[in-house]
Order: sequence, then C-alpha cells, then structure tokens
Amino acid sequence: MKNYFLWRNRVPITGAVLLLISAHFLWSGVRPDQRAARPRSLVMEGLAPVQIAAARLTEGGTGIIHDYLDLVGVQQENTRLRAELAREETQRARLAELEAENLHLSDLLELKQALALKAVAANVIGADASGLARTVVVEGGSDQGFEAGMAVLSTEGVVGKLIAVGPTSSRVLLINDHNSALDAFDQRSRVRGIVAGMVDDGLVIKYVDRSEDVKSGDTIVTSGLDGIFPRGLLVGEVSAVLREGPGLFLTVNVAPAADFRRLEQVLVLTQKIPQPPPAEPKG
Amino acid sequence: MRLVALFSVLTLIALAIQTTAIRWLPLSALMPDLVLVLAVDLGLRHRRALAPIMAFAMGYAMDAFSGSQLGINTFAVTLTYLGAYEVGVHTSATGPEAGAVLAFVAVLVQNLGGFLISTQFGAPNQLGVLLPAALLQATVTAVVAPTVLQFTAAVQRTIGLTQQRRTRGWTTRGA
Repeated sequence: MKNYFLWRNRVPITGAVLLLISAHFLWSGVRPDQRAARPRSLVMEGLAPVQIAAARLTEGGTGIIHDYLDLVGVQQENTRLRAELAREETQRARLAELEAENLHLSDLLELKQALALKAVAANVIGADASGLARTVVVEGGSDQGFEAGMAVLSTEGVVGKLIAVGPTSSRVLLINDHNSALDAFDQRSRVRGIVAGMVDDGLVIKYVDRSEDVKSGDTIVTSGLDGIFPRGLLVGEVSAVLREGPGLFLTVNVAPAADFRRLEQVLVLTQKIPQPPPAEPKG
Repeated sequence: MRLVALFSVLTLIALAIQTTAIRWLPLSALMPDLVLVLAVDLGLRHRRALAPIMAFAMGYAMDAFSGSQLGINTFAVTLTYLGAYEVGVHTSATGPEAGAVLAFVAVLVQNLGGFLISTQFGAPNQLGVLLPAALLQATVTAVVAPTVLQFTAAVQRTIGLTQQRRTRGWTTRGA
C-alpha cells in the first residue's frame, strides 16, 4: 500500500524533494567556491562560446549599420571623443581627489600605489538571464588570473566585482544590483556611507546621518576601505537627497557614473589593493 | 533520454537568447523568461519522475547566469514545473493558453519572490518599484509562451517524444 502511494505520487514527491534541496541552497548561502556551486561554472563555460559569437555578431551588425549611416566617419570620431571625455572625467575626479587628500593630510603615497595596480581588459559577452538581477558575463577567467571578489572598472567609473570565475569566462555583480554594496564617500564633504544598488537601476547611499552635509551634484568616490575597490574611483553623482520621513538616516540617491547597459569592455583589477594597517589598540 | 537531450538543448538555446538578446532591448524587462516557459511545457506535458529532475537542472543552469545567490532560479523553475504539473493533472487545461497564464504567474512569483528572498525580506517597500517591471516581463512572457509551446510541441512530435496525459501516477501516452 505504501509502495503504491509512493509510486502514484512519485512526480510530486520528487519535485518536493528537489524544492527542499534548492531551498537549502538558498538558506545556506552557497558560496562560489563550494561543491554545490562548481557545476555552475561548467554551465557558464559551456555557453561562453555562444555568447562570444553573439557579442561579435552584435558588434559586426552594429558596425555595418553605423558605417552605412555615417559615411564620413563622424561616428568613429564621436566615439573617440566620448571615450576621451569619459577618461577626462575620471581623471578630473582623481585629480580632485588628490587635491582633497592633500587638504586632509592623508597619505598620498597610498593612493598612488592604489592607482598603479595590475589590470586586465575583458569584453562583456552576456547579460543576466533574468530581468531582476544585475550581472554581466565577461570574456576571461582563471586563465587570465581572475578570482572571485576582484574589482571591475570601466573608463566611466566603478562597474562591480567578480562573483563567479570559470577558466575562460566570469560573471560580474554590478554595483546597481540590490545585493551589491561598496564603501564610498562624498568627495566634497568627506561623508562616508555604503553605496547599494536599487531595483530601479539606481544607487543609494545607506547609513548617512541626517545631520551630515550631502548635496545634489556631489561626487561620490570609493573609500578603499572595503578591500575591493582602490580609493578615489568615481562611483557616481548625488542625484537627490531626501530629508523628509522617519528614520535616523538620510536617503541619498546616486546616479551611477558608468552606463551599465552600454558596457562593452571593462578592466578587471587582478592585483589586490593594499590594506591599511590595523589600528593599534589604545593604552 | 530524449526528454533530457531535448530540454538540455532547448535550455541552452533559451539561456543564449536571454543573455545576449537582452543587450539589444531598451528595457531588460522586455526579455521573456523562456526557461520558465520550458518548465511550464515540461509540467503540462511530461508526468515522469525525470521531468522534475530536468526542471531542477534547468533552474540550476539559469542560476549560472543570473543573480548572485545560488538557488533562486532552481527553486522558481522547480516550483513552476510542480505548479504546471498539478494544473495538468487536476484540470483539462494543458493547451497554449493555459501555458501562457501559468508562465505569467511564474514570472511574477519568480521576480517578486526572488527579490524578497535575496534581500532576506529586508526591503518589502521596494516591491512597488519592482512591480511594473515584473508585470511587463510577465506579460511579454505570456505573449510569447503559446508560440514557444507550439514550437516545442512540434519538435517533440518530430523526435517522437510522446506527451503523457491526465491521471496522476498511471500515465497514458497520447499523441
């Protein structure tokens, strides 16, 4: 009788057991280096050639259309100038940061070291499979020295960090994903906070006290204290500061500097940033 | 084995489309969730113990390309399979229209439930912001679902993969 029941309900029972296993994955928070997560990189690797081919096809198709529409090469010139402008913007933010560092008597040498890290360029070959999360797949993996947790940048600013690394492809968690967080500060007022992603693709700075001086238009840069991103990299610009409502903290919305929908090439920092020495106990 | 081979290939094609074509669209929510449609197809048409295992594997594969947390898509796709299976067993609604409704509900549950789980129920106030995008993706998925289901039905007929109908446990094989 028991066997009859099991046989009769074998499909829902199998499904229920599998649901429990997937719930276990969820609640236990499987890390990328654990056994249950390893086949994931195999799947990623399996699909990487298709994604690379599709990315090349997109580039080729876009190129033909652009060349047709723009016979005299204005498009290429425009692209070059935009890239140059973006570089100038990043440079300007870095210079302003250097100036601010001098004013606050901080260690300039540390910043110079932070900006002279080894980096590898990588093509973006795929986006997130669902509409909810914000991740991209890049060409390049452990063969190029990539490791989970490494910082990913673009010429416009901070992009995200590696969360899964296969031999030839890796996945990047973008800073506008709702599970992403990085330590940053306001370049003008030096107010620190945690920049987190929001579901509407924007960013928000968490844990900023209501009494702090933060204004729309302020530049937000990385603090270097999270051990992932070097200090002084452009994150974005404050787009709104909401002082109304309950709670201890301000709501500070930030427009990201990087355009995540147009990412084509990124820079992966393959060298860990130097950590500040631990504070010595007083007394 | 034909079931495993067919749905493995279809899942890889769906993932390739979802991860590459999304870059050409103005909004990521305009990309239909084809893997969930395949799970609905599996639930409505296949009543063997191998089918939920296949759904689990499809969700796991989707987890390789989505989000930062392993298990969200595995859970959602397996749950979608079970939902479609129960609908198929207890009602006579196994056509493309039923598939469209199931796909609509599955996308909503996946998006909203996935968000709540990944934030550990810490930001329910942001659900309102997420809802329009979730509804849009659910609608787009429901619109394309009948075409996908008809296509997969045709492929299954071509390779001789029979559909199993009605009663739970003692399956009957139909055309």
